[in-house]
Amino acid sequence: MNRTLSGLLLIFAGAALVLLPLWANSGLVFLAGTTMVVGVFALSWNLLFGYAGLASFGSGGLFSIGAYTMAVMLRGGFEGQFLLLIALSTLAGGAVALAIGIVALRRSTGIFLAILTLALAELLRITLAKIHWVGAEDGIPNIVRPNFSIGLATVDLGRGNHYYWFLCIACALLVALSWWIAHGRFGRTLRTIRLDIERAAFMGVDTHRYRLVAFTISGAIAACAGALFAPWAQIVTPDIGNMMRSTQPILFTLLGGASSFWGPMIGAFLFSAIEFSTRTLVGIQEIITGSILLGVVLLFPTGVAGAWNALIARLTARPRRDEATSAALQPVKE
Amino acid sequence: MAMIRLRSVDKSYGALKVLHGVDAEISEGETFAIIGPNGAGKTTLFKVMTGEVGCEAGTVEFLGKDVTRDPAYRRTRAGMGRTFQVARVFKEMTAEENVVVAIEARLKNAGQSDAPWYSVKPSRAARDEARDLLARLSLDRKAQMHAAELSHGDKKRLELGITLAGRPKVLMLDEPTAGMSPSERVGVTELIRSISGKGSGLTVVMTEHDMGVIFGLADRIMVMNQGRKIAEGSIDDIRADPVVRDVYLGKEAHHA
Amino acid sequence: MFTLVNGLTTGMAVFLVAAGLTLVFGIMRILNFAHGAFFMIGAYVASTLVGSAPRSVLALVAAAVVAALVVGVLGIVVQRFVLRRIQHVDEHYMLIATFAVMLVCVGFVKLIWGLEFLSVDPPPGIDTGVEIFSLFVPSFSLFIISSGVVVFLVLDFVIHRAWTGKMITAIARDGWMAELLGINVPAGIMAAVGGSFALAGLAGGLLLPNQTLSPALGDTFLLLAFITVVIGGLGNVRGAFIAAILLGLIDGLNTMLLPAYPGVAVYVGMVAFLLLWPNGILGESRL
Repeated sequence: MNRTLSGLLLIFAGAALVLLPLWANSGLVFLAGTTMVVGVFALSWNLLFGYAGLASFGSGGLFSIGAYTMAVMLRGGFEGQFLLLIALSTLAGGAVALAIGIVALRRSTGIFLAILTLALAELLRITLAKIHWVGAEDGIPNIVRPNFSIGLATVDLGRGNHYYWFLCIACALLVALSWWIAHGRFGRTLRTIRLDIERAAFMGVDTHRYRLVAFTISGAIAACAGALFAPWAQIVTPDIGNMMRSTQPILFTLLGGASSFWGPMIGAFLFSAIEFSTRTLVGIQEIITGSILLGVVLLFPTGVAGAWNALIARLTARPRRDEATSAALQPVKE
Repeated sequence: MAMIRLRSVDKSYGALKVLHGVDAEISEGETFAIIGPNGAGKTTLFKVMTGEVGCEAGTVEFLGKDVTRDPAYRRTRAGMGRTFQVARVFKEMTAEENVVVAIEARLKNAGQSDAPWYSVKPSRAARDEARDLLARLSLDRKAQMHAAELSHGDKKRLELGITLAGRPKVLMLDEPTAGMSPSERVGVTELIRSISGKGSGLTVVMTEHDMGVIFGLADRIMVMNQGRKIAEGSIDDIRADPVVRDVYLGKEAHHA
Repeated sequence: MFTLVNGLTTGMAVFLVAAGLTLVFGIMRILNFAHGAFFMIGAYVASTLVGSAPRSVLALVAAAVVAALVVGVLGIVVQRFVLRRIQHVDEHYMLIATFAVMLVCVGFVKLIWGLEFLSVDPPPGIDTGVEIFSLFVPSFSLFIISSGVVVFLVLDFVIHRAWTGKMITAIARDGWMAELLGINVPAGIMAAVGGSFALAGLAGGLLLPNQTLSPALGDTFLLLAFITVVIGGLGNVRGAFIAAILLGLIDGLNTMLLPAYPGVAVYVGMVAFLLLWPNGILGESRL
């Protein structure tokens, strides 16, 4: 019952997103597209946190690398090869994450990894702000939304809501990919590392290697989200990877629930909804957002997804309790 | 053949030297117990063998190969399985999942993983093997319970299941009956005996406080005191050893 | 020489902010994201008291002390309702809770003081410069350096010499044991945390001149303070002091040698430090 209900909700939410441009104004459509991208970004972060037990506070840097790679190449006139550009941006993010992981993961985890990644992202941001070739403080404006062609069919993503629908498809594919990684053998092994790294090592798991691979994959997906975002926002500035960006996935994940795969996505949309409905209230917005976060952390440490699962469990508690009692009675019978 | 051989192992924690040139040889198929009073260095010696901690001097050989510098996961892959003093299981996973991930790790490391690359579910073979193993540990009725909900004794059994799923050649048990009631102790002793019986060929290394458990299981015993080996031999040898009587069994005798 | 003075000024300014941060960590084991926001509140409170042109150094210091009191009281409120409840949860949830507190603080600052930038001039007496060894040194720099040193000396005395320090240390190391010895643990923690927050407010007041006040003020200082605290060893005030000086000097050299890339060297140095000494210069400390 839990599964069907959650699955129906998922389909309903997906359909609502795809049909959104048919009735909503362009501001709302832009917000929805942005939320999808940062939702995927948050999923990539939770692949690291919820599965491998590593918290990066510099994921904004990787998002920024993807966005800048895309922006620079589109400006360089390579817009005919959009798919290739996405792949290249993704690889760039993965390569940087791999390099950082090789140096950092063996030495530091926990708070130190958090601060180290925070510092690296900030270093990237202030460096970008000084390089004139990428527009320094002003960034790269007027990014085009290119044509997209598979085989014979070509779609002009610059027209109407085409890029929005393209985002829907791309994000759905990335979500599917993340889901597959998280639920397969690789994801299961990562979970054992988060739950008890020593026990995992004593199952013969090379825990360092697994964490490194997870760090790389997470970085690649974050950069991919950044690459998709650049033509959507049509401008990139150094602030695309600032501290607020790096904390975004953390907030979404904890609001939605880190122990659930969908948590970060749920969190992203809830957060956007709160921000959207309080956008005209200067100051009040932060107070409301902060208070909700505080409430979630203090009252439901498992996030919204955890609360949802608990609710479902309570609703369907009767059959389960019978099962549990019969299981508990069995040994007595023997 | 010697499964594990230690040659003059030294180990210090800071200024405190806890192992002084310890030698040991554990042969295939035997059940070898390390005993000694608290602080004698049993657990440290155990950790040096499993690779949980390194040592400053001396070597550790496993199956004739020098593994002194090998990390824990390499020793595990070579066939060394262990349990912890306080059972460590993956609490958020079900009992079955706990065993399945261990089987999957073994299959992956041996290059025998038979699940197709795109599949998210564990292979049928892995799940069947997990069910069989849980049945052997009398945990089959609790296979779908979360490990966190299991009783203390069941957690110990489950951890043994995770370890056995790796099909170890040597089973390393760190205080397998710690914190158990007398009746649970008898159960675990029986279980270990059934797993490591003469036909199984499994070598067992254990540290243990409870003399009943040791006398019920061990073929050979090594006694440690203050970081040194003071005696080694069969149960009868140890019982007869005057040095051991002084430092260890003497106290036990008073209890009895 | 000029580099040295500039570097020390930056270093001491950062230390003033970092001191409270590392103290809270030492006592509560919580890395407080909201610290920057409380620093900012301190600055706003002080600016409201002195206006845009403070009349004297004394007025500025008095305003800073009032700001410290206000922020200290706020800190006790936060400790009572938030920090105390999250002390035993996963460290990531601590970060998120303090981040939420930060958001709330920023929200209130925007509500009360608006979004415009405010600026405050140095008061007469420290608005010019003095000549030392034929070198012109802005006297406001000297004011900040001496404030930093004074705060450090007072803290060091309180923590390492006075009975208060012994009490705080006992509470931080083993609250249960301290209670057994008859120390009122909740009150002690509350006083210590209040004091740490008050330090953030004091720093806000003292560093007020020559700053542009905006609701984003907290961020810049927070990151530098984080770096200092981690390099110095979490919870270690002496370590933070040394790290702050180092950080200031690195930044000073950076301004001199690479004027086109301000601030870069600090992060490079920070990354190198973390990789070489992951536990900080003087190691982690529970105070």
